[in-house]
Amino acid sequence: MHYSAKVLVRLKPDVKDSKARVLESVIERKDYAQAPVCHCGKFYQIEIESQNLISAEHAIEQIAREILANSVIECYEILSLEEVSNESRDYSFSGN
Amino acid sequence: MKAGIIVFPATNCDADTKRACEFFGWSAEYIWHSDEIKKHYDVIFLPGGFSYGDYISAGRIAKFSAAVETLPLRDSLIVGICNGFQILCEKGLLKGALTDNLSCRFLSEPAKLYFQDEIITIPIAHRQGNYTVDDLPDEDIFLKYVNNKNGSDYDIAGIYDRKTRIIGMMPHPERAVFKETGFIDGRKIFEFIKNEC
Repeated sequence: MHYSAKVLVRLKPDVKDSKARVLESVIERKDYAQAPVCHCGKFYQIEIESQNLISAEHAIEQIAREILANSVIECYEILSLEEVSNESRDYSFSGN
Repeated sequence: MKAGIIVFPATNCDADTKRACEFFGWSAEYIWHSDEIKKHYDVIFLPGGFSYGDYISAGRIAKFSAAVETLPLRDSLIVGICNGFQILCEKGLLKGALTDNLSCRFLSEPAKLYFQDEIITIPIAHRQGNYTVDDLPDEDIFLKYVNNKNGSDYDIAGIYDRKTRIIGMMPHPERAVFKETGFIDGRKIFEFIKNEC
């Protein structure tokens, strides 16, 4: 079976987020908005072959915990995990 | 004195580190990242660079390499410089983690540092040198910034866990050994390393 997961990794709330601070200062300096509070992170889409949903979830958890995130400073969230057929595999990005 | 220097894909301070070791009369050889470490070394360096292109995060992929997996802990003194420090933190062999500099800019400049009751000058060159740690004993801090530009907790530039015999530092002492580079205070760090072996 083929599974597709979307994973978000970001700094824990009490860790200094330098990128977010720079982003906030640019937003204010360019007058897009007032008093912004930002959080920066990384998004991953991972497709794997697995026997079933449970084993796929176990694998994605392990990948996120051991490769994608450093548990000292980062936390991760599996945004979605779903079975996909070869026909429905979609790598497109619908954003601007 | 025998030194091993691990070379990862995109390590770029391996030759400088080897030359610095040889300046002190140490024998030094490279260790390829995919090789297990089986020989004895008095000191093993994880040099600076951008191992595996810093993909995911600095040092994240290198921690899975055979050389890092087989580091002879407590037998050899382990020294991580810059990217090597990042790798050791990612591996969990040193406390804390290194995140983006406060400015989010790459810092490449001479840095004044407190080291053993004196101020020395050694170059820094990093983008993720902002050392973050919850709690660290004072005796583990062996190098501190005089002017902390990257935002590191407690101005920490280098740490030394004497129990596990592991040193990690962001400054590059190997770039401050030869007069031609403009700085020679890195020699003091290498002398310190020799005394700890």
